[in-house]
Amino acid sequence: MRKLMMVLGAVLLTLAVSGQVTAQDAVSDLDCGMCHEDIAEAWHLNPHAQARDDVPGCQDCHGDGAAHLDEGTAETIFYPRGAAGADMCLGCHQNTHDAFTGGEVHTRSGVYCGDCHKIHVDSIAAPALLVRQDVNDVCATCHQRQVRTFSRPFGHQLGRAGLDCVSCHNPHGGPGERSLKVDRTGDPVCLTCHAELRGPHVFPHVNGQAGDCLSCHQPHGSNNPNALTRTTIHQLCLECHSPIGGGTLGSQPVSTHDLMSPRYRNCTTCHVAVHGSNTSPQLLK
Amino acid sequence: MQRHLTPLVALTMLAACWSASPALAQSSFVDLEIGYQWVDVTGNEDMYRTQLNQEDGVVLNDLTVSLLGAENGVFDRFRIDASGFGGNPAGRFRLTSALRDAYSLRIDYQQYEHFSALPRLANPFVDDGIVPGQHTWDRDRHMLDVELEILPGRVITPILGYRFNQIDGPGSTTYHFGQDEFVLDSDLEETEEEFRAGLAFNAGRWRGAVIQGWREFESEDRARLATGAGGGNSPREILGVDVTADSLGRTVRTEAETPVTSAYLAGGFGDHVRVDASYVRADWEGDTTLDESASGSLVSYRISRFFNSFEQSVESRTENPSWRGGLRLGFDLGSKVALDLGYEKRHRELEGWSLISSLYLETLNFSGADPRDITDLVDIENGYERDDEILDATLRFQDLGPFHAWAGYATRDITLDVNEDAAQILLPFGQEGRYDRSVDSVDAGAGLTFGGFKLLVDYRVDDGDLAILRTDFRDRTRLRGRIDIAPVRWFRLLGTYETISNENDDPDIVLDADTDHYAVDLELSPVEQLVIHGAWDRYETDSSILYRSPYDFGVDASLHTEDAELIEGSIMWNGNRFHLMGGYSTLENEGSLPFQLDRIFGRLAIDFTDAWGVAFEYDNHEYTESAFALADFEADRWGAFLRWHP
Repeated sequence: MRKLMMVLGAVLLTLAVSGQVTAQDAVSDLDCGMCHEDIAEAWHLNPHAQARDDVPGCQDCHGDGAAHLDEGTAETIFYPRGAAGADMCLGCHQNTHDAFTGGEVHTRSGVYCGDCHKIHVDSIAAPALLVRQDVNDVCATCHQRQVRTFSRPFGHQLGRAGLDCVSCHNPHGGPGERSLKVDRTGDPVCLTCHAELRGPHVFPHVNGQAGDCLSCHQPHGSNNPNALTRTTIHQLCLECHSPIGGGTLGSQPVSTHDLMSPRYRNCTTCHVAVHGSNTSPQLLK
Repeated sequence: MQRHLTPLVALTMLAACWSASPALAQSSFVDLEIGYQWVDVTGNEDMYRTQLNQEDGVVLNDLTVSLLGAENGVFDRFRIDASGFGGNPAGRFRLTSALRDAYSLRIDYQQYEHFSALPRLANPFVDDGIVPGQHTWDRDRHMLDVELEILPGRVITPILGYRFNQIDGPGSTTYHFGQDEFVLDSDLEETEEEFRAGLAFNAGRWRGAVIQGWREFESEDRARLATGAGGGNSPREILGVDVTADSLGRTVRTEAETPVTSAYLAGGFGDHVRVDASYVRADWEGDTTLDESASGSLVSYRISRFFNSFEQSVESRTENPSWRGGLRLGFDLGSKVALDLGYEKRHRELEGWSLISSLYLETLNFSGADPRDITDLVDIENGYERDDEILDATLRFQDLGPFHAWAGYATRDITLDVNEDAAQILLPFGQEGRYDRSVDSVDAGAGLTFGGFKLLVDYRVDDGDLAILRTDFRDRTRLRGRIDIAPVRWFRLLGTYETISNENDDPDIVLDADTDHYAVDLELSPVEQLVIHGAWDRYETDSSILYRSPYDFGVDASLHTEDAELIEGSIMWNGNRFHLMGGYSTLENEGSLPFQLDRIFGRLAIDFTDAWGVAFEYDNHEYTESAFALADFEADRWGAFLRWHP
């Protein structure tokens, strides 16, 4: 009896497996297109259909469609969303972008590929298969507070001449500083455009040495002129250049600097080379 | 007022060419919107140009050309995105073209006009109502970046690239010289070029690239005494002498070369371990020369003399090798838990030499005697060496039903050695020595997602020891939260909150800086074509730190506040052939720089046919500073555009 049950079990298992394989083989993209006509028609617009000789089909991403073909319910097909969807995307894309490794900030916050990218596009207008045509609008879906900081009067203007969130930030990067891109020299991304401020200088000031651009500037937008972190120049300078107890980097201005006079409240009237100088130890030129 | 029109003409012709070849691809998308804008500014036009800088002229609102599936043997994917130029102070052109298994090409061009003429910055005469300040510029930046991949995705992919970045144009600056400040007209031209070549490899699970670049930087900055500026800024006599300049000019030239090496390797072991390693090295070597001459009635405390003429030459050399390398490992610990580890080390050092040779001609001592020429020679060697070491670990929990969470730890150690030449040091404080700083960080966050409801909260604590700059914190905390409620398609309410506190209780510093930023967005879309949006956004920052007044050595608190509130509302109708968008926003800051910025914008687009349409735009900016009316402006911009999308 026990042997009979084992034989019956083996036969049933074989039938089940062979049946599944048969069903899977029977399902083709043409079958999918019978119901999902619009998606099938638009597939040729998709970079996924253009990028490889062996064009991926429906079941490469949605799994076996046999059960779905039979029953037609949403529960019987895999829809790649959330972490499971990301795993599927990264099956191909993980190594094509070095930044995908290392715990990207969005993944840890529960934001996955499908939240920003839409695979089945009905137009080739949107770049990078984004859910919206403007990449800044995609970021603003969640980061509307950060995007609105560009509304301040001084600083960069988002969207102008291709200045997008992704010009400086890597959406697939890590949290904090690791969300920022770097210039090809490893320097802060600011210097990709503002190359003339890179230096290095014989007489350096802040940049690259003790601080960086953000020590004095608010990059998105600022309520202070020149996108500075302070309204007045002498205030910005003296907060570092007041070595009251010593131990910090930043010299003491000489006593002739009478802050009661407007000319001394504008330190940069004389110390014009605030990003560093090769010709003046006191950054006068 | 017609600036940078050439790219516009070229782009429009390009779009016309594409339209003449509709059979170029299986599918194509072409969208062109080009027109003319008129700008009317009242009030401080310099402040308007500093903030917005739109001008009358032709403007390209949008050019998109996207072709897919062509079988012409040249490309199977082709795309152009361009906008701006003309009356817009910025423009961008981006072209990508690729042929499967053959090549991938990207050309990116950006152009900006940088303008700044602020009323109060570097302006000793602001109290007299004279604006703008003496530091202004009106310069153009052109950036081009080209990259070609040959045989993309194959086992070996050669990569070639070129980069060009140029900024040039006039400006004004000041020069503290002869015991006065003089306004100089300056003319700057700086160019950075980079050629790069490398190889990428693709060995299945493992991929990587090594790229070698060669950068060249050239700069020439010419400055001359501005017309009418010979009297200097200060009307006061110095030791009974009215300081004046009859002539003043200088030219500074810099040339530098920087070989840049970058490499990355990405791959993994099995299905559960990911590896990402990267390395960048750049070795800057540059030379600078300065030639300066001046004449007039001048004073020098450095040589304790009056002088009538001055010549200076400076020769400088800088060497600045830097590198950074990192390794990141990712471990999947089951389907719901992942561990990320990272280590990075950065090194940067500087060695600088400067030989400053100054010749003071026709000098007299302060008693009016001892006429002679005096040579002053200063030989300076400077340098620093900085190392950063960063280690981080994050544990992630995902797909725990509606929950996800993470917790992380990071530590960063900074070592900075500063060696400054005694000739540079005026007062023996804070200019050389060894500075060490270590910051330990712990952060954790959690999210809850179900239906149309999302809640995300994260908290971070940074614990630093010694400050290198006085504004470095010792203790920092940050709390952020986001709630997103969208139970139905037509309703979304989004709220965000962030509070950051920076502190350093060192009795000589007493840094206390708090920032709160919170916002609420409401979006209603009762029908698919209609979107109504409203937002309220509040930003408050309040910082205090001790500083010392240089003139009396008194210690006081440096206070800075921002108390800004933004309210905005907009409405958008997006029909088949009728698009309407309008909105209003007002930003008011009651902090250290009180101002109000009101904006109105509207856009109407009507498509008469499937291919042709028109668009009209209007916006109004009104900027007012309650304490300084000379900065105020109001600007209107009207635009009329032709739309074409065959």
